[in-house]
Amino acid sequence: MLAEQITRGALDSRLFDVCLIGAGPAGITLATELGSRGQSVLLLEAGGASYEESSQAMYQGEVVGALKFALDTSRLRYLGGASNHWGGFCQALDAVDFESKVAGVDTEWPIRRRHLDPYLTRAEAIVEIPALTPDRPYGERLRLTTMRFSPPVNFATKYRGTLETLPNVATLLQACVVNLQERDGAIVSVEVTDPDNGRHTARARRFVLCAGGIENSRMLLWANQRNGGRVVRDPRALGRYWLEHPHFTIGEAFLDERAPFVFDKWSIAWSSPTAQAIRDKGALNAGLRLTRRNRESSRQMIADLSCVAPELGQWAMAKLKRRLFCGAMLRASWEQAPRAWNRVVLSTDRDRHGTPRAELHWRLDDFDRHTVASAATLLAEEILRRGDGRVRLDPWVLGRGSFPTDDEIKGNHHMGGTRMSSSPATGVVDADCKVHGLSNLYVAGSSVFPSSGAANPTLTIVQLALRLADRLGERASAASVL
Amino acid sequence: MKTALRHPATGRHRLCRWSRSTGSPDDSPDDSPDRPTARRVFLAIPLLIPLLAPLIIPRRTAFVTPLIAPPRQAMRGPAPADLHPVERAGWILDASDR
Repeated sequence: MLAEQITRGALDSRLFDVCLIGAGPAGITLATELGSRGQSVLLLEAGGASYEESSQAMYQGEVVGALKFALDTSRLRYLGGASNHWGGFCQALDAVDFESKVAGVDTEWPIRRRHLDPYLTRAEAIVEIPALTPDRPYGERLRLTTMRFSPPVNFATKYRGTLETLPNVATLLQACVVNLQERDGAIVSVEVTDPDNGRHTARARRFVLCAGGIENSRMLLWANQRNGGRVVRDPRALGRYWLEHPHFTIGEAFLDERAPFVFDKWSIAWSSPTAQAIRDKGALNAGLRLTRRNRESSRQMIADLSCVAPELGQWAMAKLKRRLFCGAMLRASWEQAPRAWNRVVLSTDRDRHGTPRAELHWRLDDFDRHTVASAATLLAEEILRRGDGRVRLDPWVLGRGSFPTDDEIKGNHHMGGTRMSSSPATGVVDADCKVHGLSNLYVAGSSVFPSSGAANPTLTIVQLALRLADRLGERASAASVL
Repeated sequence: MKTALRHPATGRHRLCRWSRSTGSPDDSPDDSPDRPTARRVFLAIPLLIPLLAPLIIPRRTAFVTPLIAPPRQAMRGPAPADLHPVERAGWILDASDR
């Protein structure tokens, strides 16, 4: 069942097995999984069935830091969530992404990749991509990776019919959760508003926040404040260790056509450092993208090269004319170091429901530069060593100048804030995505990532949602036996 | 192309096997429906190569000689022991790159 709006009294008499808050990729995956297993599910979506300015305005918030982006355009507040503007890029996290890589930089997950691998095939089917293929070595310190492209799947379009027909799944649109009510170490209900600011109460045995990489933190911060700190009892990590994948142009290259780079349909060839190289460099993971350039810009690039190496430039120009070389732009998106100071806090400004808006404190530091510079230098030197071309790196990558403020800056990958950790001192949820100290509140989505790797997060979000569905199914069975 | 392949005096097709073997214009079925087109095309390939070579020869083969000699070590890179990366104006080059 799917309702465009809550009707008065519709929720009051029902106790659902699971209440899901947020209908993006994580929430919809959980709803369809749990619903198909016979659990009664209430899926609450704050927005409507389609984009509305007034709803989207609820996502306005300030970003504090040198690198600005708009919080109300990097996510979407309606059925399907961010999948409504998803690019469809899919990669799985590397095994090394779950581990500690550098002393003093807490990237370790309480689970390993092998815990998510059983959900990979189903996740691939959900986002409609072919099976991932193993990376290929490029020298000893780099690997050529493959990006898979979802059509992209719009979760609202793909699953609306399922949500409407599953008899035990109730999807309510324009149902904004404004508070969680805690009692004796459990959430007993959530307070829901309708567009007319009418208040409703939804009750369930278990609750899952699936509202996104900023809203999950915001909701818990606000609920914790209203419940006297009894929702997240150790709030030291709450809202903190927020992450993005910084996205910047870092240089350019000319490449021999015989080089083993494989350019995909976006004319991008992908590469990353190996796990060993990451450790050797004392850096984090990074994704490097060589994007083919047209001949004119390639010619200009080689003309620039001629200023510092005239013979090489003249030779390269001749090769370019004969199409033996191609030019490429070098871009990177990389794993940001999890830092406590990168965090979501509650603003003094409030939305129309009276909930404080999100205020995001986010900046990059020298370690982030170290990560991208390490990966870029590895690639430049390997291309040089193999004679596959030459690479030029931008001055800021080489430590001259600060991060550009006029670049893409971020990937709209909101991660962290309710990170997963075995200790409540350093995380909000445990390895099963359950909030520490509460018996029945869970978090789904990229906000539980303790660290981000370099892979685009949607595939991992779906894997985690499938795993959580299994956990919730197990606990439901245990409860029914008891 | 077709005109160029005809003998200027006889008008016979230069590549027609009948005209080559008999020398008789009467044997040249130049416009007959059963003329050996495949053989003509086959025999024409050597003539077409100079014209089509830039289009059909793989760009990476040794057939295409660089206009100028590559700088030392530029083509396939130096041996690892000889690699001396240097940075010039952002370019990561080998020390031997000039």
